[in-house]
Amino acid sequence: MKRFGSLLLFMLSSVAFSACAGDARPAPKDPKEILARYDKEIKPLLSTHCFKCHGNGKKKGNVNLDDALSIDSIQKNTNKWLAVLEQVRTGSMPPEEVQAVDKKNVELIVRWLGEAIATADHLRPRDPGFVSLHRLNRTEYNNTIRDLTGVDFRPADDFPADDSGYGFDNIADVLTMSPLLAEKYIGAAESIVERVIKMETSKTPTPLSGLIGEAKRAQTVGQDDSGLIFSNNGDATMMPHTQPGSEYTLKIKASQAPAGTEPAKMLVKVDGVDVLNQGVDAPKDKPKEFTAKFRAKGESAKVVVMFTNEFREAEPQKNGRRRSRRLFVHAVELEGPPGAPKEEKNRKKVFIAMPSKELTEEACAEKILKNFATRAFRRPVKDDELKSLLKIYSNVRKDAPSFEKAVGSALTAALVSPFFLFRVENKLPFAVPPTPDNPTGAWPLDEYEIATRLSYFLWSTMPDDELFMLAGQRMLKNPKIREEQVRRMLKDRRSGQLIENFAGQWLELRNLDEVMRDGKLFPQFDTKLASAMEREATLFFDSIVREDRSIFTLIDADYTFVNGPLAQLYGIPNIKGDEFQKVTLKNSPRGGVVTMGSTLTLTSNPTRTSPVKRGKWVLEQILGTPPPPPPPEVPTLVEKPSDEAGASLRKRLEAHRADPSCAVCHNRMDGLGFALENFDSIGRWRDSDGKFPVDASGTLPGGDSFKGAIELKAVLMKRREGFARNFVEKMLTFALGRGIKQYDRATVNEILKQVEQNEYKFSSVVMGIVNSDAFLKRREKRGDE
Amino acid sequence: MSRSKVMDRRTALKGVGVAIGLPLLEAMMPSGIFGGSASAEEKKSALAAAGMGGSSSKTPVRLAFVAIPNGMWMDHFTPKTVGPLTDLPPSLKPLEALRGDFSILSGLAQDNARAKGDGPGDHARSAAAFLTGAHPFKTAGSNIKLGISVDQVAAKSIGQQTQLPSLELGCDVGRKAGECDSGYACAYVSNISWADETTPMPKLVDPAAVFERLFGKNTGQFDMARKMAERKSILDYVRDDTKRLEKQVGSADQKKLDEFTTSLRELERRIENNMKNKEAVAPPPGFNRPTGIPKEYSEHLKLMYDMMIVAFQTDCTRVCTFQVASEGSNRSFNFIGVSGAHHELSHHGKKPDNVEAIKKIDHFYMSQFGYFLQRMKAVKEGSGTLLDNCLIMMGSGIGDGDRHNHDDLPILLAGKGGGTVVPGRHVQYPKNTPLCNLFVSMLQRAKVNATRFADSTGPLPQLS
Repeated sequence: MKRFGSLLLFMLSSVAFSACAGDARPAPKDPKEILARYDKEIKPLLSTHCFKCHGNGKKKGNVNLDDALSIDSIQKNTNKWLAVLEQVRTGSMPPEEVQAVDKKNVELIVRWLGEAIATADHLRPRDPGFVSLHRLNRTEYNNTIRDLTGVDFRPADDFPADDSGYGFDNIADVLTMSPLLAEKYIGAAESIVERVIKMETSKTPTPLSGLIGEAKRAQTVGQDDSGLIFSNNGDATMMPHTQPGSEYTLKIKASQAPAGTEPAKMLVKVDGVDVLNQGVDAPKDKPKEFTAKFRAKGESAKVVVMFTNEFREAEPQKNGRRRSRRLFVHAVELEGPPGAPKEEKNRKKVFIAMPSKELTEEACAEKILKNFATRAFRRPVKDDELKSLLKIYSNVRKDAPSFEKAVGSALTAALVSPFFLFRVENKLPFAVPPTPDNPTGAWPLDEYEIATRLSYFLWSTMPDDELFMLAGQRMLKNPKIREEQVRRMLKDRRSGQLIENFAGQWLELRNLDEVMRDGKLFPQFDTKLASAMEREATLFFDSIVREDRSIFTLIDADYTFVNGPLAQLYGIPNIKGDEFQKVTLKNSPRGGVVTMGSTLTLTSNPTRTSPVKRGKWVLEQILGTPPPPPPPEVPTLVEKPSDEAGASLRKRLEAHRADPSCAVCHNRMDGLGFALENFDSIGRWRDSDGKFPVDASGTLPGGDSFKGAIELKAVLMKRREGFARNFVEKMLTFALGRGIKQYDRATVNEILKQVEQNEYKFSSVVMGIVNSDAFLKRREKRGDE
Repeated sequence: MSRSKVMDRRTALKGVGVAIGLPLLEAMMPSGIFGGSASAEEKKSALAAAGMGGSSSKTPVRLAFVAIPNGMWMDHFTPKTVGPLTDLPPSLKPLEALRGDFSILSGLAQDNARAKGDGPGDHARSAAAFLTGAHPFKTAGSNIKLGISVDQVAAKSIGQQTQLPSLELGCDVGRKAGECDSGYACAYVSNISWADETTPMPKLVDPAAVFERLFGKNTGQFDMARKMAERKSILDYVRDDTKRLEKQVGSADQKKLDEFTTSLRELERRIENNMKNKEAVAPPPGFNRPTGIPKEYSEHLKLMYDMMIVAFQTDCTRVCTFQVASEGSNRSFNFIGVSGAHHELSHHGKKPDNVEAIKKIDHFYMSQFGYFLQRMKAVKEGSGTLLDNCLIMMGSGIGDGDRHNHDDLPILLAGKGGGTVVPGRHVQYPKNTPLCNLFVSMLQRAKVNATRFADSTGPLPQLS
């Protein structure tokens, strides 16, 4: 029984916010009435049914209910009471050996707990919480450098990986600093500035010609002064800015190191379409130029250069080495549109002035550095800071060969400054004493800090000129203007980052490129299909954002996006090719994130489905009631050799649940997962699993039964309040860069109220967050957290 | 699979081959001590000052720690008898030719990897505790707390004599999305090296990046002195900015800024070294910059092992950790005929198919490690080999992957520690002997002044 107890302990923390899912939210009451009802009705019931293990000093599973009950104590122990509520409501407690609570009394306890918690939440002081000094993560660093300097070569890609916490990689507490990272920062700053100087001031072309200097390379692709080096099959991606609808010419200079009989093959795609497939029959010292034309679709084109026929000779040469075929790409240049002036696209962001008769070098340097540091620090640069930067400039200028190099040195310094690397939010120069109106001693953020929070939340990058200007005019504290800005920002292309970084982590899409499948069982599963799954999920989430749909569409949408391979997997006829299109799904089990190829694949094992993983995923990512992990001593599904032939997966899992210590959690997980058994481990429809017909029926503790995905989604919709809370909490975590605590219930409840009034539209979640105290204020760290 | 995939490593490997036979003392003494142009007399006195003398027996002892995830099938790891290694168990067969160069140390435990009331999350805990001997505070993000790791104790001491105090390597970038292990922050799973209670030392996974860290980005012609002088003035500025910032943020953020200041100081030390030397440490002749992460895992592992070897060989560092895969790794091993994933298989439930698969994976990891030791042994140093002057611990923070026990860990110690260790034996220690006792012994043999580490009860006997 000890094991059982320890399980309960974990359930406590994990069912935190699950109560009253689905039902109308209980209303707050008069606190006196709540306390009186406890003494009169509830305590006697708890005493009869619970106190044997959880009262009079006993705390089985680390749960004790001896509270001297007050509103304050309910506020402090909300998670515990929520767990009690869930346990009683679903009949998981009391256990069989204790006298069961009759139905009428279960309702009594559940109603009282719901109202008691609602009352406690209602009276809970608003607490903005504490976020520590936030280092830019790799994505934020890359984006910020791109917007600050105009060079877009993703310098942070070779920084050490950021650790994630609470499911996201932008959590301030775990974005730590190390000597390695400091080294990377100074090295990156140097090469960024070098590129800026080349791009904005030099008259001679750079050695890395055209776009390839900024190419995002696959890890197998190398680069040196002569260009890109492909020793293995791999690709490099460039994203030049384009004018939608205009025609462009791509010019690529390439060569090869030969091996075998055929020349190195270079495949070039623009926005997913092949524009060039070329054998490169030119030695390295005499590269050839190849051209291709295309019409731009959007504001940038995705140009991918690939090496497709890697080869290594079996027979060694005289020197003992075996030759390998390699592709070298020396230059990628974009010309067009016809008649357009050349290269005015790179508006100067850094060298906004150059010395002239009217402008001395010193004054010019000051102008450049003032503009740059202000944008880099995301607030007006201070006089003493500017002075120090100018000092670097003048020290270097004494013996630097050029004005640009000397300014560059100061620019480099600004990029290693903690004011750039961290998102700084100042404390006030004086302590804010707690008052009844402001019990946490919180203070409002300043305008620039708000602009910064907004832009890193919605764009994962620095504020743009408009936000910056509004901050300067002190307009961002005006809720109306803030909301206008949020709408503008959500429409902007850069909000794609919210989808990539928030949805990509919430739905774990980033893990898709590491998914492996047994090649014999799933020959059709390849990287192309995996990336199509990722694309589907991204386009789908994008449609929710752009069309401002209800967040419940994420569960029960009647449409999705597919291309040829995905349509084939889903059994949708008449769709061919790599282009994605929207399809309507009527009476289909597809639609929504639960039955998407990405989810179904990510929650399966390499050789078979896992109803347990799928159920866990639904509990965690949809309902926000994650099951506790198995205690270490519990074995995973024990498979005896005879099992596989003799019993279905369902039967084997059911046997597993015969053990009550397993059943306590698996009852919740497996039922949900079984409903999805009609989808195999790459998300394809099936009616049987091997020789066993699929039985897609399931039940949940508390009585909901369902069969198949359509009915499962209906059950999830019944509990949509739980989903809404979970979604808000996940997005709040991402927006703030910190974990959600018990004290955040006040904030979350308030956001939920607004979301409900706005028909659960996606934008209302964002608005609720950016209008919350948690987003607009801060406080000092408390001793107890 | 007949693709040509060994290109990257092969290019680099040439270097390891060529450099064989270059005696350490002539070619690559710590560049922090003297520059390339120093006279023989200067070198000698510099050596004396560093307490290293001129004879090969005084060559510095280097420390390396290699962590394997998910435990081992112990029945095939632990020799049947104690004493000299005669009949090697199946998982150790790849080390047959190195029988005299390593010992198996049985009975060691890492107590703080145990739950101690914290419930599940054993993989995170064992990675965290493996080299720190500390019990991680359970959190998904806020208030991360562990302890300094053994390699960092060495880095703060003997590491100060080299370009880099320590080098942290791995093959996994860490989980890209989702939770890491049962409520533990990912920092615990993906870092085995910790500078202090709250600061993990992130690892490099791209061999090209390791090369650049050791030998600089540009091996071509550029004015190192000027560049370093510039860097130094930049750092002065950043330090001033940091002081300004300290006054603007609350007390809780001071800790973060301390981390930053410490990192800057470390960078500055390196820059000053470089300025003294006028040039960066050169890679061994013919040892080229790899072009990136190879596709094949085995090539990736070999290349990272190569990096460790050149780092030691050129005396860029004397302390190195290598996490071959994140703890709880679910890597697939199709290429050795294993279908299924490592972590899932490690919960073998004694099912014969699973156990067979685990044995194959263990064998694979030991073969890669064997490659590493062979290469170390091929590098001559003074009258011995590089391996003779190293102490390399390889093992896992979990014993049996199915039981998740943290006693009777699979622990192997290779190298002679400059003649302070007699390898070639199986030593059985009393049950629950702290693994940290081994760490104390390793530190002492590397001339680090240490008498205790974490939960150690003293040095580990019977090593020499």
